[in-house]
Amino acid sequence: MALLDIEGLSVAFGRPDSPIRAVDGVDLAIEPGETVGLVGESGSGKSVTALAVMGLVDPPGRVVARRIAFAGRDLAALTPAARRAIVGKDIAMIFQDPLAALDPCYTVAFQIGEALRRHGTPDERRSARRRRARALELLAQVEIPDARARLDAWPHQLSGGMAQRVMIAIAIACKPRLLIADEPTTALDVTVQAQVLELLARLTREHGMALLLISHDLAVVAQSVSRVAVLYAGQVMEEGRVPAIFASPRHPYTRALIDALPEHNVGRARLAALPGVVPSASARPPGCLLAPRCPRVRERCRIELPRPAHGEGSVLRCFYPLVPRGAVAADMGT
Amino acid sequence: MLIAVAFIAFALFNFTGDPVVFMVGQDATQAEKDQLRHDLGLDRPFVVQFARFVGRAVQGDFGRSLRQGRSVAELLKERLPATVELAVVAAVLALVVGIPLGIYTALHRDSPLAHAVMAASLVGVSLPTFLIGIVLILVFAVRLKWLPSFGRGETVAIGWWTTGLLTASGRKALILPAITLSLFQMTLVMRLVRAEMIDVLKSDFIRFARARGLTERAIHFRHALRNTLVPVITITGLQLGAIIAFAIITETVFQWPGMGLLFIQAVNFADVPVMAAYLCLIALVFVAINLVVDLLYYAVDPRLRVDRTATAST
Amino acid sequence: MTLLVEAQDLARHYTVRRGLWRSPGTVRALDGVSLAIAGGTTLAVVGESGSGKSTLARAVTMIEAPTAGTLRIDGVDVGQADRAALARLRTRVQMVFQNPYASLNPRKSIAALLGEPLAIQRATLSARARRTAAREALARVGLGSAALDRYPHMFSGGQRQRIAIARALMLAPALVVADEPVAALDVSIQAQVLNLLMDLKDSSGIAYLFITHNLEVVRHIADEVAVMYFGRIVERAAKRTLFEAPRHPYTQVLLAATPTLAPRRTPTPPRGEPPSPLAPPAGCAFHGRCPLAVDRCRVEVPALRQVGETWVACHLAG
Ligand SMILES: Nc1ncnc2c1ncn2[C@@H]1O[C@H](COP(=O)(O)OP(=O)(O)OP(=O)(O)O)[C@@H](O)[C@H]1O
Ligand SMILES: Nc1ncnc2c1ncn2[C@@H]1O[C@H](COP(=O)(O)OP(=O)(O)OP(=O)(O)O)[C@@H](O)[C@H]1O
Ligand code: SF4
Ligand SMILES: [Mg+2]
Ligand SMILES: [Mg+2]
Repeated sequence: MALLDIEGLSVAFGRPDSPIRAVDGVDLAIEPGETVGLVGESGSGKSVTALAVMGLVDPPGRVVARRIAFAGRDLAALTPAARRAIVGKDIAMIFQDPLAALDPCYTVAFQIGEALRRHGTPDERRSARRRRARALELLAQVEIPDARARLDAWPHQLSGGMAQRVMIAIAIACKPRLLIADEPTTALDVTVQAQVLELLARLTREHGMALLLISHDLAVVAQSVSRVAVLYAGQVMEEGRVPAIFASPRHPYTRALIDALPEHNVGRARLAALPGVVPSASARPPGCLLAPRCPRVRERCRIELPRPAHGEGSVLRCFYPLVPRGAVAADMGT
Repeated sequence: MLIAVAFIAFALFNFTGDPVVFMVGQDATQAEKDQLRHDLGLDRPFVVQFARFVGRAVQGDFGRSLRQGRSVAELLKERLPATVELAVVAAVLALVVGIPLGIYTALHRDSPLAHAVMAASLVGVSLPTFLIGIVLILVFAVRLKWLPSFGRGETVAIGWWTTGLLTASGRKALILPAITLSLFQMTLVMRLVRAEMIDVLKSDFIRFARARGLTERAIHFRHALRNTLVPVITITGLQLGAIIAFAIITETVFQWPGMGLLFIQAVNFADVPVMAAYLCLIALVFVAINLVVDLLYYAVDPRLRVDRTATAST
Repeated sequence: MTLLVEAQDLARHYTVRRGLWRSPGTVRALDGVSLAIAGGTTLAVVGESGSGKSTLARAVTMIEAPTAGTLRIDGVDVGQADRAALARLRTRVQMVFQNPYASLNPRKSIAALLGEPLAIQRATLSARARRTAAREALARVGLGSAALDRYPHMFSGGQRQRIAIARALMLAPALVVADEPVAALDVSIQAQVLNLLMDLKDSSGIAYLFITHNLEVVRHIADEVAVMYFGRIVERAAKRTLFEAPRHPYTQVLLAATPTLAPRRTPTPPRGEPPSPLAPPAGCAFHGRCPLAVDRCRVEVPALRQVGETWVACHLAG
């Protein structure tokens, strides 16, 4: 049974008569211990999808789903209190801007302890000493140098990379079974990004924790997960295993994203840029959302919305997909 | 800054009418006026007058009141307790009512009660103080006859300090002026807390707190409120100065025997030393409050306590 | 041939206050940077956050005077130039900023925004001529003249960046300093803007000082590359040389840490984090994170020296 099972998730903002569809019928399943990536351009609905799973979409946002189940329990059917007992314990989430995500008024130890006091073992809930010991353990686990001294540090005393590690420490404090990481490295330098990605990989490996890694950076995702869903304007366009999906994408949008990467155009003067922009939330084309920009577009795409076709570990939403290439990594850059 | 205020206060009043005329009347002889002028030191050059004024002011000597002939310092000392009591009670009232209302309206933005409170606060912001005072007097003093409309009631002396808080009539007399004075600040505090809290509730760390499954109470009071109070402290602190300054109007309406009333009476009389001393004192209060606010800020906001970069290096 | 830009030992130090109780510190945002840009070529500057890239951009665009060193543009020493010469030099260098949302005044129409540099620098030009020039600039960045009477908020991020580029082109500069011009843009839009910049270079021989933290973008657009670390250039070479044979350990670490689509996991991620600018380490600024560091690195600042085709500031390179 899948650990997280999302079916037909939609999130809309704005007035009901003219909704802004941020997420539009997303299906996504994550097995225990699996690492899954969610990629897409800005505004494609990555963060909102994650927030919907966490139950953190605020009004006026409206969440509709056929099913959002975690470990077999339907999250949507739970009371807010029962949901909060799962959120933060079994599902944890970390955010893009680590310095902004820590409360500036409390120390690192306090903020780790807070999670333990809420969701920890009975022992941890009772004893402040126990919590502090565990906080120290966690800081060491996320490889913070000089962890003991950092316990009483204030968030503003941390560098971006260190703050991200603290946030990860807080998130994994109660041994979650799923960690949702929303652009965890976007605000960090490349070298620090590599460290944090390595840390996440190690934690998933060691704790058997599943990971949903959200990023706009294809390369970051390609390095870190085993399966990827590509989001465009709130819909999953393609889903497939890494590296196959990058080596031979079947959806024209995935293809276009890859082709637009400088990495993929070595020696070429021009990048293969996808013309136009993402459709605005208020003016969505009637057929395939990519139709106005798609190089393979035909008449049918403009009238009819393609349905997602589920295959062996893959999903594809396109009438005229690219032909899969035989060789897997033949086309990869240097 | 104090010197600047002293200078402006002094200069302003030096050119706003001749106190001597007020003192001896229009039909005194020139000789009489000159004599008085010399006695008061008003015939010296402006600079000398100012230097003497500052020199004495530093020692707490603001000269003598031109009207009452008594030492200004003594007059102020006598009036100070009344104003301070009024201002502090008004400020506490503003905070005690304003902060919870601000929190409530921020957390329950769409509830009818919050809407009602917000609408009421608009009235509080836009009505002039004297009008509020007069309305309160009309309702509670004239119509209902529950509370006195003027004066301070009985006071008890503790050393040179006089307090109305220890007698029933003193407390009763304080109610209307304190409400009048605090109403504006109250709405200000409320709106500030509300706006600030709504902002804080949108911040990333609140979202992260919610993603940790913390209880609503912990999120609202431990995280949101604490961060809201950081800027609120500054503004309310500065408002305390404003309250003391605003007290002039309230004191006049309620004939409250404080410094503000003293000042208004002095203005009517062009009583320069009293006016100048009052302004200097108000400036001093502002400076002192600023300092306290800075220190408080320091205590609440850890970012100010320790230098970031020096400790961030590994 | 005189070089378009020639910088010798440029430095820019900032004094920063550190609260009530501590003495002010000095941030060496730029420390002895030398570089040269020939007309029509692109020098890409890469480096981590805080390495001094934007400070370098501000120095080269003459927005901020360096605290030491000399800067020559068209062979003219900027520090010695009189006002008239400076005004002329300023038209030769234009800047494009990272955030296309913040760099355009939202209250001005596109025509007014584009006309602004002309109104300041070529006061004699008629309003009509300014409009014509604005239309031409828009055409060069692929926008129609319908855009002239619209306002910045009516455009997408990529379009705004085009407008910002059009504005930089108004005075026909010889050098455009672009500070992270595509960092805020999506991949597909980033590709459009990068293509535009390359087209402009081909068609009008503009030179770029292109600032970025993305090595893949550098690989695409640069002729020469300068790698900055902590206010200094640690390696400078032709693009090919740099990517094929990186000589500075930091460049190597950077290359290894840059993620790619190809399944090429970095076996060991780089150690440590950049040091604090207020507490710079002695010796080579990289020694705390350098896999090769020896004792000498901890005491002696390595000078930029030529090794083969490359200029590199590392004691062990060679
Ligand atoms: N509170 C909100 N009110 C209205 N619209 C919203 C709200 N939150 C998100 N949206 C809209 O939902 C859409 C998806 O947003 P989301 O934040 O999920 O994008 P994203 O894929 O995470 O993008 P990014 O890479 O920029 O983070 C956007 O069009 C956004 O404008
Ligand atoms: N006006 C200033 N006052 C004090 N310090 C400054 C100032 N401007 C820049 N600095 C410091 O100089 C250093 C270099 O800054 P700069 O903005 O040039 O870095 P950068 O390489 O552009 O970084 P980023 O990639 O984050 O834009 C930083 O440590 C920064 O804090
Ligand atoms: S100088 Fe030394 S420490 Fe610096 S990069 Fe070279 S080898 Fe490493
Ligand atoms: Mg997002
Ligand atoms: Mg910069």
